[in-house]
Amino acid sequence: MKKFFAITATVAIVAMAGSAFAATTSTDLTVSASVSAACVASTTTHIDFGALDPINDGVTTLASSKTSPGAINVKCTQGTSYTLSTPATATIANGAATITYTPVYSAAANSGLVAGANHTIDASVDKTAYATAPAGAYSGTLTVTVTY
Amino acid sequence: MRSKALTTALALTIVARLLLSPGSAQGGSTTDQLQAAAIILGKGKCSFVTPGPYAINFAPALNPFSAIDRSASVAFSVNCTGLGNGVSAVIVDRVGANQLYLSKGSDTIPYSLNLPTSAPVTNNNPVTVSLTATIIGNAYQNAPTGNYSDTITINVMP
Repeated sequence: MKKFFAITATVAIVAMAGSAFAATTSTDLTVSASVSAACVASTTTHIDFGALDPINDGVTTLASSKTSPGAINVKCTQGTSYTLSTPATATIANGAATITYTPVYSAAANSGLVAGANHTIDASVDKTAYATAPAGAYSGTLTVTVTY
Repeated sequence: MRSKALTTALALTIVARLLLSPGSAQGGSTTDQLQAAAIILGKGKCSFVTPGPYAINFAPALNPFSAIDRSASVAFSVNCTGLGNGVSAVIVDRVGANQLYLSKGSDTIPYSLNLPTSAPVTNNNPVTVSLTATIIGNAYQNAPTGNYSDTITINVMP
């Protein structure tokens, strides 16, 4: 019986020491981050009017009716709203000779997809724009702006 | 509670003595081994020199189209007093051991928190503790735009 009481007393003292001296202090830590709205665009197809015929073409010619419209792929952070825009008109040139055309596309707002979305950028050219143009190959660059 | 425990222990001891008492009619002995264990509790108390809460902010913002591993840190000082003999470290941990997530509504970004499990400390001599949070690149490459956050509890003790 003596041993039993001695052991019991020791356990009690250790337990009391724990509650009296061991101390934990706590604080909150906030971790935060923002995911930015971002978009990247790349050209998948160039605009190609093919051969323009000042005599036999209609009043207006779309690139899509000749060879191919252009297309860009836009990838944006999921849910990012964006719109496309271009200059009202653009030109293709052959030396000093130029032909003015009009980009045709949808300017409606889009909701971004990480997987990307393709947008067709067609172009329209009036026959009057090349009625007197010298024969030859014309080219130029159209800037498409993605605003988000 | 303690008296109940004593009563229970006493009853068990009596039973044990009854069982272990050598019978007068039968000789012999038996032995057994008991395992003993103890937890040495640290004395003293540690506190944050500058009261919390603390913050870790990933800046600049995460760009899913340039999704690289990102880390951000915070450092704070801990001062300990009343340390007993043999206590030479402050223990730092967080509440819970679950995977950590930054969240924005139902959208989440997993992250990890690296904290020192212990840091050397002496009485009344503040020690700096640094915590680093890490987000791996592919954890946010598909994350929707917006602000994400999480709050956890950090503990310090001798």
